[in-house]
Amino acid sequence: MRDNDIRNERREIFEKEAIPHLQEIYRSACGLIGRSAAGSEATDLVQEVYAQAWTSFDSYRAGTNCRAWLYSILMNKARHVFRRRKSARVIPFSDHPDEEVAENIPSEPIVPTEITDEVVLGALDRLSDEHREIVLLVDVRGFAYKEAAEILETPIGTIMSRLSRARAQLRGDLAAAAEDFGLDTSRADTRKK
Amino acid sequence: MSTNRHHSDHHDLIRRLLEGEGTDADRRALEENPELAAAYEDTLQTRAHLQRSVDRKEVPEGLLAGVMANLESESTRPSNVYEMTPTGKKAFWIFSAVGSIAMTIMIWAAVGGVFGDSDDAPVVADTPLPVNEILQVGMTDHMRCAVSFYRKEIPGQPTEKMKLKVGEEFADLVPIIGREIDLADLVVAHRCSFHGREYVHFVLQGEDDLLMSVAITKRHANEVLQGRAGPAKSVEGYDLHQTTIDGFEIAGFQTEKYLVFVASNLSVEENLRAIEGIVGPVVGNAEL
Repeated sequence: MRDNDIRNERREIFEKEAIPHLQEIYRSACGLIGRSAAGSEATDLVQEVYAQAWTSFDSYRAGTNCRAWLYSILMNKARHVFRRRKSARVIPFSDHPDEEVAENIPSEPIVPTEITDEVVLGALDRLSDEHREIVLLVDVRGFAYKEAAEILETPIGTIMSRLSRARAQLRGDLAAAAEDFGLDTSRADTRKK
Repeated sequence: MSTNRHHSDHHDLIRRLLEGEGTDADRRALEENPELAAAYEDTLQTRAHLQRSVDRKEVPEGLLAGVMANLESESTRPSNVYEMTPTGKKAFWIFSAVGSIAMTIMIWAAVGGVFGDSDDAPVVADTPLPVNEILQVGMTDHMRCAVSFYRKEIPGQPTEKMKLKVGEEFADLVPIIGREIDLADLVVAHRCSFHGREYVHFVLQGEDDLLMSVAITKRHANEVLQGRAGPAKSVEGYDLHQTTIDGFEIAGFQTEKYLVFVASNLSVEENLRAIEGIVGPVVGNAEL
């Protein structure tokens, strides 16, 4: 087979298996690096993920879990971003939960019917990097604990304990925000449905 | 959403349920233990919030083109050089610019399409949600719910149980949905709530892993189902809008009081055909 044919076949498989996950990978990248990131940072990160996926595509076995493979590249790349940030960490104004909520209350007083995306993403942002990557894989993207452990190259016991702590923090944050908005966070009404 | 409810001994059981490995004993434990059920529901709710918020992020129009252009140039480069090439970046920004303009025009068209050209037309406060926003409310959650919990696990509920679950107002829809959608079998019907919004939800399964959800929810004030590309079809005076979210085809129409959606992993045409088949019977029988 000539080089061109091999390249075309490789590209065909890549387009069929990796490209369909592009939008999901982009959104996950945004969730991982947070709202304080510059607009182009997630785009650049995803470009890097796909560039690496393409150049190391020979190590991917067609028909196996391409999505998980892409996530393992994404997580590696995101960890570079986390490390860069830690070396020049500036605490953003909105890191304080109360200020976060206050900023989200519109000037026109309304009673919101649901927790806003801003609040949810703010809670996700406030997780530590290690907790956020696990929540993103397991709770947002539905990976099994075992898969998440493989993607992050972390023992499953660590995954479980980190996830437990992360969920507790998220629930606390969301409940606090809901109460600040005047939403009923008791479960009495929803339990009966 | 109490932080104290999450006992460690519940953690593994919840994991099994979330990963579709729940046993009958797990489900019984859930029914018999309110504290466990609360912890499970908290986890589901938190997940649903997160999934929806993360997935509502707009993907830049030029991203795919940028990635493809990048691949093109990477093909001719030695391996293990991973950084984005200037070609890719340039292509990305060109496509982004074109996309932004197109998006602006589409938003303008969508708003104009609803409010007309009147100078009095509200611009921001009453701008209707774009169709994707409305379609996305609960739909991806419902599909995930269906995928996670009903795939090859639960035998179809008896019709009478489904009727009870959806309540008197929608009970007549149970046999109608089952009859009119011939591509799949109705297996579960219930009422559920996501983000403070209530749904009557029907889950259908068919051959070849076909999965379908029919969801009905009350229209909120100012909600208008208005596709940017216009309706895909009109049936008995009801416009059918179609979109794709997270790989699922989603079609919807509005009545005076309700929004009705059909989401599936079928093709666009088949999904539209499915919703087309239920417009008349659904509107007529449930007095929506």
